[in-house]
Amino acid sequence: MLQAGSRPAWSEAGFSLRFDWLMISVRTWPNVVRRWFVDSTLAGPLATLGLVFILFSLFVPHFFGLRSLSGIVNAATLTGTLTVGITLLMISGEFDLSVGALVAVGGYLFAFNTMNGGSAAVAMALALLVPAMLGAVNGLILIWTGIPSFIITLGTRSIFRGVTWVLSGGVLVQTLEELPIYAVFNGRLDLVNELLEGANFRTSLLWLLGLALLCQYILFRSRYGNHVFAAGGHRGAALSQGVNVKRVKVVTFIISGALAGFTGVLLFSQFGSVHVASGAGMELSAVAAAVVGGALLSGGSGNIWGALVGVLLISTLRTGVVLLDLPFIPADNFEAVVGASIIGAVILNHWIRSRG
Amino acid sequence: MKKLYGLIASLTMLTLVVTACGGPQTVTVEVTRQVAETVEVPVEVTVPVEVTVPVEVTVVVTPQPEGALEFVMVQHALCAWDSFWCTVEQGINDAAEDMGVSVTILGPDEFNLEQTAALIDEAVAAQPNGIALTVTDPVLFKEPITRALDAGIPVVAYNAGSGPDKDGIPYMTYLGQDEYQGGYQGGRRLAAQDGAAAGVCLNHQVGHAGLDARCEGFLDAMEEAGLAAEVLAITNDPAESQTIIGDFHTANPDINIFLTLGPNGANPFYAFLEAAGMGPGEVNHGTFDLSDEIRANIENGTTLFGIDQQPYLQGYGAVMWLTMVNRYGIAPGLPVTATGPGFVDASNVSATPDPNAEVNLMMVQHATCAWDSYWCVVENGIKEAAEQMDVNYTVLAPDAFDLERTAALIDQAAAAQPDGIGMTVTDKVLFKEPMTRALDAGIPIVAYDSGEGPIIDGIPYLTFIGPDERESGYRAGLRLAEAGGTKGVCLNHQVGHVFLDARCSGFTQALTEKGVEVEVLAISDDPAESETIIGDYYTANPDTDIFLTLGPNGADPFYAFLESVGLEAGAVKHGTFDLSPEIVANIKSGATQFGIDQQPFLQGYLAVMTLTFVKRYGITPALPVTPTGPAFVDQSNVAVVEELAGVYR
Repeated sequence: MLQAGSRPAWSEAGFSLRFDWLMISVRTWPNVVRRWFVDSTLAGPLATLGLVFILFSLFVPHFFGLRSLSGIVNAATLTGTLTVGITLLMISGEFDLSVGALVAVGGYLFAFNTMNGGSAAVAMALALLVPAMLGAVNGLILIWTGIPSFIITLGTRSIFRGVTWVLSGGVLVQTLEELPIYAVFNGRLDLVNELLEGANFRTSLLWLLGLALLCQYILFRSRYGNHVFAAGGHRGAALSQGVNVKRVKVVTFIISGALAGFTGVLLFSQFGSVHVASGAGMELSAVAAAVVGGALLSGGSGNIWGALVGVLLISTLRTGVVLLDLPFIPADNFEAVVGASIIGAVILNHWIRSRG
Repeated sequence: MKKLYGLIASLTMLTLVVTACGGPQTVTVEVTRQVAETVEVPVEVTVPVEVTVPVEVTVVVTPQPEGALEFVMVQHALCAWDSFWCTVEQGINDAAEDMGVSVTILGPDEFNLEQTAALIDEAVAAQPNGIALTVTDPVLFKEPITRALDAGIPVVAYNAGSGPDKDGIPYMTYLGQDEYQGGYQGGRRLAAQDGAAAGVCLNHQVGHAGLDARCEGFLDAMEEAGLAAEVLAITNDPAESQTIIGDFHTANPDINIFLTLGPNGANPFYAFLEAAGMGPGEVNHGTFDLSDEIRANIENGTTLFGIDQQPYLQGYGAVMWLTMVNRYGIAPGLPVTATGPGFVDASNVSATPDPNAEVNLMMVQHATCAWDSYWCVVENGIKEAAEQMDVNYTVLAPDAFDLERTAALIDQAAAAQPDGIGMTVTDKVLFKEPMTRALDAGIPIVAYDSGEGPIIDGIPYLTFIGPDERESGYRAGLRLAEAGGTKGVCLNHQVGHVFLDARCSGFTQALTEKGVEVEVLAISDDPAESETIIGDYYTANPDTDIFLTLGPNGADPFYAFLESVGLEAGAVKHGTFDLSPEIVANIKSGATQFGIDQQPFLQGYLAVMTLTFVKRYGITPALPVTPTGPAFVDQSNVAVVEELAGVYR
């Protein structure tokens, strides 16, 4: 891995600006900009996204505009929410492939408890708590057995899908009710949409931004955040500094599970339906986004903004390719182009980072 | 610390138990079943689709599960003066008795089409709940049949006809032999014989559409088997034909596969064999139809099989479909409902029907009504058929989705030595061994709900009863393209899934035939992502005005797309597979033209009926796939379907 130029961010005690955890502040131009580009895990993805966005705006018909912009953002919100948790886990050196199934678990619990006049508070509590606890199961198996989390969650991925079967009885649940709580979680942002011609933003965007801010703050401003980096970076060093690596990992799994449950809430709130296979494959999109966003598979590096930029980059690529409507890429094969672009983006990231 | 983990673990378990016991309070219609992806055997399915003008078939009856029913059958001949029709009438009367309906059979005193046409009007005047008739002359019969349809009477055709599309009369379906499939399946049987080298189809009436279709199917099967084959025209003069066959054989001594298209071809063929001094085992011969001469040759081994159009099934089926549509609003999916080919060979040529034989059936399913409401409808169909035909059955299913366990249940079912096994072929690789054991033990098997038919699954069971995905996509495409359009797109939420790809492929063919540009767009399991993909596609292709989605997974993001773009109901045409509350609401509002129902009730019903017919009458299903759909649910019948949902639909 190309770690030569990137020191683990948690050791950068020298950052003193108040909002440096946002990773978007700069002190002086242009030297600092150059250093920031080399040091920051965010720079590469952001530069790639910027480049792609400019190129598409110039060359792809209908791309530059609020319609496609809000489309890109909407397509990124569900995966984005998952990616926040996945990124935390990847920084701590772990994987979670079971989150896709937890999306369905969260979606069903939220659906059953809001439909037919249920209590919104109970629905939310269950939709977050149960996936969180299932996330804890992942973490506990990890610390009790020492099996790599990739393997554990590969197993629980199927087990949790089984839980979904039992929970749901195998049936699609759908509602035509339009409850206020659905509008809160994933309704249309009519205020914004009426102001801006062609825009179609949804409240899920605000929830995602809020969550990202919160997690980024925790990651870079709290003791827990430091420990997450420590657990994923140098386990031995972390232990010797008194970091309880086991506890950190279990807590991170719990957060990842809860976020997956929340993704299910967002899903059901917009579409009013959830089925046994809901969320299938989302976990891989989330991992891809985290990696594109600068997270390392080996842990110890990454940040939430980067991951969100990763999700946006993938979503932008997809929109661009579909809009291009190339005669030699049939509409049922644009995913291949997106896949190739993901690899390209990661290569570019590493190139930028290694130019230190 | 350990305490904390212990606490978390126990809390998790507790919550799981609590939530599981809470159970679902669902408002549901559709089920998402996960079907294991398996290795695909590269066998090409040949679906003979002929380009004809589709007619809009609508059935206007309000279904009443409990009502008393009266039907009139009008046929161009009667048992009283043509013994062929005794078998048909036996089927009619047995079905009437099984289903508790009353039936009147009308026919002329001698072959007379004008008089038969007049009898149709007589039938209409009696205002029955349904009319079944022979469409012997589609031109002459068109007017009286149209009068029946206008009077709101459901009509099916049996024995004579070509289906609503080709006859140009919008009756429900035609029950008769699928000629192409007869030739095709006959060809497959002949090509599989040891030493089969090259073949010939002896056509005694070249230019007759039905006979030509038989030869065409035969040629396709031979080509698939890598064998040379051709058509030889013979005549209606048996002496002349015998000479032609003899000369042909002298010129082509390596040809040892012969298909004749009826007694008119078989008779000179036997004369040729006798003259050439050839006997059983020296040629491979199959023929259409049965005669005393053909039966004798099947018994002595000269002829491998005679293909029977199964007239009993034509009569029985006609009454059954009229009952289905009147009681449950369930209609046949395709313009032609095949009753044949049924194969009569050495194994069953001397079998005598035993209408009162006791029948014990085992039904093995990967899911059950106890934990998946979709299956209650299937099991209702099983129960209904079993009660009507006086058959005993047992349903075996695992108590949770578990394919290994289901595979074990197949062995358990076979061990009970039933008269037949009906089952879901959910995983053809895993199930192949236990199914082969059951088949080897001489137990007939039919598949329902899950499976792709004996040829594609590579397991020689009788038939798969369920949706014909490709044909459903095709009929959906025809419907959507009917009023014209500029560009169509099939939104596939799982590219690479065999069934879904087949739906898109049928849709693509239909639109291409109609001269409409068409594409497949891959969307994903993430509805938010899919909504954006559809939106982007629409921006890039704003002339797209026909959309097909393959289930709620595609319909959900499609509706979200409609809303975000602000397209009004009906601005673009949309059809979808399956029904869900949202789809039903959109059918009512006019945003969606139709939802396609796979008629699970019919799957269970036909599985029992088919196995019972095998045991009692030696009647076998005609096609590798017995289609139960597509059934189109649109504004005209959505209310009815909703009312019967969960029980019959």
